[in-house]
Amino acid sequence: MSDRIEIVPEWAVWGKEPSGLSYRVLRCSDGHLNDAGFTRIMQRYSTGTHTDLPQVTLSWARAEGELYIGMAVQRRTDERDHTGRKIVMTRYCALPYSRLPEPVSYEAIYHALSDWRPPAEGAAAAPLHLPPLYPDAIAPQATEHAMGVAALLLTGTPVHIVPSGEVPSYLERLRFLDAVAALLPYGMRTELSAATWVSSTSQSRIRLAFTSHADKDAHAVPWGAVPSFADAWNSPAHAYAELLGVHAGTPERAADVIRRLAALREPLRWDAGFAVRALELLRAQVQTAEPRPDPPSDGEEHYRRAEDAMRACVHAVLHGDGPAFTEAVARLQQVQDAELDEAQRSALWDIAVEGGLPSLRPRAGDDPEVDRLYEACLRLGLGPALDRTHLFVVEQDLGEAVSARLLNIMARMAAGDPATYLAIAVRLRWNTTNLLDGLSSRTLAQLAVQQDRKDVLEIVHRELCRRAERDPSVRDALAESGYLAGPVERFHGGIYPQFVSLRQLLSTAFGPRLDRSQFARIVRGGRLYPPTPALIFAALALYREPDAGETLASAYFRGFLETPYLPNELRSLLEDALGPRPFPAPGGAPGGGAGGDPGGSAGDDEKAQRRYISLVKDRLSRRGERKSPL
Amino acid sequence: MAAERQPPSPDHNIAMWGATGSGKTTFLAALDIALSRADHIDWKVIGANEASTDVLIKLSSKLANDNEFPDATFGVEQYQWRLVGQSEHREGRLWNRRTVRRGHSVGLDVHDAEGELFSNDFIGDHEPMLQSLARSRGIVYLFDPIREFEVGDAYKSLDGMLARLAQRMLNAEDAPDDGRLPHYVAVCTTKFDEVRVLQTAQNLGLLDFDADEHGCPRVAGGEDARELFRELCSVSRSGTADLVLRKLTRYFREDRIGFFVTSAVGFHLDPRVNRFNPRDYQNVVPDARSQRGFRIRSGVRPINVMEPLLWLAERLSDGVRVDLETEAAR
Amino acid sequence: MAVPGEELPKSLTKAIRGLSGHHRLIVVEAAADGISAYQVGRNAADVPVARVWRTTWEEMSADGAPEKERVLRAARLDPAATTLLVCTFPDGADPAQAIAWLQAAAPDAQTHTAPGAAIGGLLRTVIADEPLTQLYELATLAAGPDGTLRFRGRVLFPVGSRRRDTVPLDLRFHRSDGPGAALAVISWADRRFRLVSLQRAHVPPGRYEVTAELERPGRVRFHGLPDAPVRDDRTWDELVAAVPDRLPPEPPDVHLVCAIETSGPADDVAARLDRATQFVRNAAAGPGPEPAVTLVAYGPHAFVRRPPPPLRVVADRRPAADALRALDDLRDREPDDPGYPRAAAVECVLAELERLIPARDPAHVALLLFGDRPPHPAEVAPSEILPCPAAADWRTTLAVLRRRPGFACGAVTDRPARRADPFWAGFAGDALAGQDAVDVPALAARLGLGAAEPRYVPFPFDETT
Repeated sequence: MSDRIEIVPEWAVWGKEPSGLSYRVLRCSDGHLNDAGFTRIMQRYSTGTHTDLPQVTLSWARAEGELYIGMAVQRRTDERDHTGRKIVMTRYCALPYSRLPEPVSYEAIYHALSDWRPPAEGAAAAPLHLPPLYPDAIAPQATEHAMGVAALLLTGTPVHIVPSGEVPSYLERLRFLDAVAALLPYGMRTELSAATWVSSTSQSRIRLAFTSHADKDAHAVPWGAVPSFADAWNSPAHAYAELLGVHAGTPERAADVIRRLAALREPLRWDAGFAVRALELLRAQVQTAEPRPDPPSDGEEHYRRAEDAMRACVHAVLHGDGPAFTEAVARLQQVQDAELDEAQRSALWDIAVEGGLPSLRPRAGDDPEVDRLYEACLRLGLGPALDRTHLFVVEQDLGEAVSARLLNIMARMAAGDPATYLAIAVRLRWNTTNLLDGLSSRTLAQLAVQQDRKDVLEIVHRELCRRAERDPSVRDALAESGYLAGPVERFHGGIYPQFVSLRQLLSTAFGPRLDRSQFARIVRGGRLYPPTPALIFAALALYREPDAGETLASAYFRGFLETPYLPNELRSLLEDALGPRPFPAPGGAPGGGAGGDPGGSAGDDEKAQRRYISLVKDRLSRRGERKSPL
Repeated sequence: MAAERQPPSPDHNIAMWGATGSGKTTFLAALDIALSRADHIDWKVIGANEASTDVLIKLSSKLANDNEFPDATFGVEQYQWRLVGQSEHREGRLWNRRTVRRGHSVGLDVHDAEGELFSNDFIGDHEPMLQSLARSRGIVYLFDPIREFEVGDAYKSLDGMLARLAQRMLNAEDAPDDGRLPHYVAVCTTKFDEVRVLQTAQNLGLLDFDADEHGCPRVAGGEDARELFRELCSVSRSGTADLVLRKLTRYFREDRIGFFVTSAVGFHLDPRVNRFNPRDYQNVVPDARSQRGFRIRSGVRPINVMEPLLWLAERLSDGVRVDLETEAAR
Repeated sequence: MAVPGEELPKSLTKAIRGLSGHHRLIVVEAAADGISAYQVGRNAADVPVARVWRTTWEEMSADGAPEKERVLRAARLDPAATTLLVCTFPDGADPAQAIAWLQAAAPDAQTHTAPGAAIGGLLRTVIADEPLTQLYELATLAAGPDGTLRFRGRVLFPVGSRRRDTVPLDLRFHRSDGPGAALAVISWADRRFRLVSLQRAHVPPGRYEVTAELERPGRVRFHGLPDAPVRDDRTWDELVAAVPDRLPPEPPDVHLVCAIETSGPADDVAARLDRATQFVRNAAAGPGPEPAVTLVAYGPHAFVRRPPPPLRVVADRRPAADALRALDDLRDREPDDPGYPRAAAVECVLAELERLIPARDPAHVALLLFGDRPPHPAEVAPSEILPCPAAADWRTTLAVLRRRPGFACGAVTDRPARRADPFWAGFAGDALAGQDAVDVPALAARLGLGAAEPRYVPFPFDETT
């Protein structure tokens, strides 16, 4: 992302004003090329009459000693000309070749030009931001077909690619042109012209183009077919094709060849003998160098491949380009398991989210492509294994757009993390019975607190109640998670339902009666989970000792004392106040220190209980709790 | 009645010449329909190669089936077509006299360029257009009176290119002695179906009506067509259109200039009686949904579209009689 | 001459009945707080009317005791008047002293002692109980055989009528102007009439059964009107001047025809429908009989092989409420495709209306067009607008419609009137307004929806047969 090339193009907008009479240069830059120059370029590389737009034309120009790589993108607008015809606007840019610090692909120029806007009147043009040519991204396109076409261009005769049946999208065609160009020494681009389409009846002078019927003076190559060199078996073109075939047979090797050819940036004229020179250049490259090991698999390399594929994916989605999408997803899949650092993953995830990839809606019918895309985005952006933090990130970034389909894939990726798996399963409303066994009570309790979801809370609550009877570890798990008082408070509405829920939890975990230390521990709460009123009531309901009030007060404030943000001065004040005092025991029972006798006499017990009931009955005995001891 | 095959005659380059939007491509699109609709002659246009056949199909289908005008031309398109037909001849003497059907095939290499390329204002390369014109021996020159009335650039689309063409051809070693360009020029006043054009013809008393069941109006080729052309030139917005005729006669031999009044789409017919209705005949309807902003109302009935091309073909074939059993020739 | 207290009402009645012409009755009340002097006389309509002046003891005192001079002045004694002296606070020293002085000053005066009596109320009761001494009539109008209007008194209460006497009336009210209809009660004496009372009420035109009740001499109350009558300050002359020579003719039935161009951009169509709705509402709210409403939705001709009809009659002489519902339905629909951009089938709308509206329609037909595009011409025209496929000619049809009595047409165009297609000015003349600047009531009035210059009749008509 950071190593993008910035280059200010010379540019022109060719079209008509609304209601205008004739096509002309409407606006242009004020560099080496002027409007007459641009007009000649537009005319020279005219591709004839089109019914399907947009179309992209690659061209070159030479002005005042500077060489240019040019690109024109034609689009139809909604404006109409003098005779009511819809106006076709062409945006043209010429990149000064000498100022290109690194090779760039045509596709990259196309994307940059699509985003680029001509400057306001009198203002300087904004630069195009181009990623450097990335051979690995192009290599999959460097098929035998593309190699043959590249070699065929060395015959000097135009090559016309003729699709039969469905015509590939213009982006796919552009990508093919890019691949062909990449299989030639880069310097040949200074005189290469190519077009995603030319009218079969136009008199175009374009070297490489798609068309419906090849010109009789051009090589006709059916789309996808490997051209034959039967008529030119001893030409340099054929030798070039052979050489490419030998050295670029696999995508990895093709990437290597492309990399080497891209380094040949010396401008190369397409004059007599150019084919021989091109052949020599290629031969020199493939013969001198040792077969290099696979490209370094360091993070940066992987990252660039991934970013490239991710952006191609976003672009294909934006333009509704199905084949390009399929291709980009395949590229993503190739790199999805790459080792990346956190910053790189985060950058990729941002690209995916901004481009709407994880929230992309599947096309009609079963769309396995989207599943693959989702998985690649998740793997690249979040890593190979999903944990709860990732789930949180996904939900934060996508909000409502998290689909069941995405969750399914996330579940698969979270298979190693039972808690996360459970959290996802709950979202998908799967049957969770079997999932719970693998999780410790502690994890479950944590899950209930962290997930902040009612359904998770309910499942955990139920499970912990079920386990508590035979599993004492539930107590500790509960203590660590504040006895679920926080989520219970959030999801159980009024204080009474909270109380019922917590009392049930406590009574199954601790039995019908708490002892003093248990009670103190509960009402004291933890640093992160201060007790809620409902928890205190629930604990009180199970601890009916006469010292309940004092224990509550002292334990609660002890918990409070542990609050990390309490200034020391205040802390000592409180400690003083809570120091041991004479305990005015109603039944003469001694009181005060922790761990006091919890039993007391039965008579006292009943008395205290009655008193307690009389105190809280009014508040607690609503809603059919008649059978309750309260 | 024996039919003899004649070897195909050599192809003749015919260039379309006219300002932007004057209807060059529409004219060509209507050619196939015009030939198919003509009852009295047996001519058809076919493509000489696949690309040209494709274009022929696409253009006429768009016009006839979709009732849409063709897209604007970009650059220079070259259609290789062939007019194929038969003519009848009486041969032999006295008792040996017989009717012979003779097949003809006239190659049409039609250059259809975007109108901008003809304009004096065009700052690009004139060479391709110039080459195309220099190679041609026939020119269909389209004069759009409506555009001339509203914009007035017919002269601007003629004189510069004509001067360049003359410079190229008359300075050549094989230049003709009479100092005129060697082309045959079919001067076509287009858009006869438009109200203003028809009414001008009517006011000048130049209207004939077809004797067929449709009874459409028509201006006969030759003098009548020339008079209408002259009259319509006089209402040019720029006031320069009258120079067009002068230029043409100055640069081309007068006997090689033919005048036609044409309409690619023809008139709307009253659907109840399938006849021309002087009350309601406009055949072009504004249509915001169309790429062209207009569509054809009720089918295409070209008027004088094949005639200029057959006229050119006849002249260029030099001896091949193309019998024009048409209203214009009567 | 002390008379016992019980005699006081009788004495008052007798004294009041004895009043005539300029003769007055003075009643002096010496009460606890001071002296009240009541002066009772008959007004021009022979209705007893009392006035009162009050003076406190303080005002009459100097050095803490009432002064004789001041007491006599406060009593307003008049040697020409009948005088009654009443002491209502016999226990007080001041009243007793005052009565003594007054008796001395008016030796003919009757003196009554009536402790605690309210003399004002007593006088009111006595006056109210007085029988009428003059005939009361209500001023009404009647139309003569030639239509001219004349005044005609409708007898309300004959001489001798008393309080709470009622009389039923059958009155017809016509439209009256701002202040409302006048209910003028007049009395007759010596062949001269006097205005007894004048009230006004906002009464919608129509026939009403009204009851007139004599509340007291000089005051008649009318029951049975939708608006309670209140005092009217107009002068008699003003009212008489407001009576037209003749009864204005009954407003005719109104047939409002709204033709709305419902194809084009949704916002434009919605704006047209809103305006049409305003006009229908306005017409329905007018004073006249409820209008019948016809609604036509139209668009341009489609120049295709099987064209859909360019117009639809969505309501044919429906009550305004139905028409408003139909307009709502139109609003809910997706607007029609704009179609042919340069014209709309106004000519076919006119032709359809010519067919729909009978030539001898007694109703006043107001045609309002809400649109933008001009009509298709009947034949090929210099404008090059495609002719109407049905060859309808708007000029001819419009001329036919215009010749019909009571036909008026107007238009509301999307653009400001001066920028609208010239057709609209020719079609609507003055009754043309742009969407943004339309004054609905004014334009409606121009089309005869609601009388532009209403003629008011301020008096009711007596319908009693």
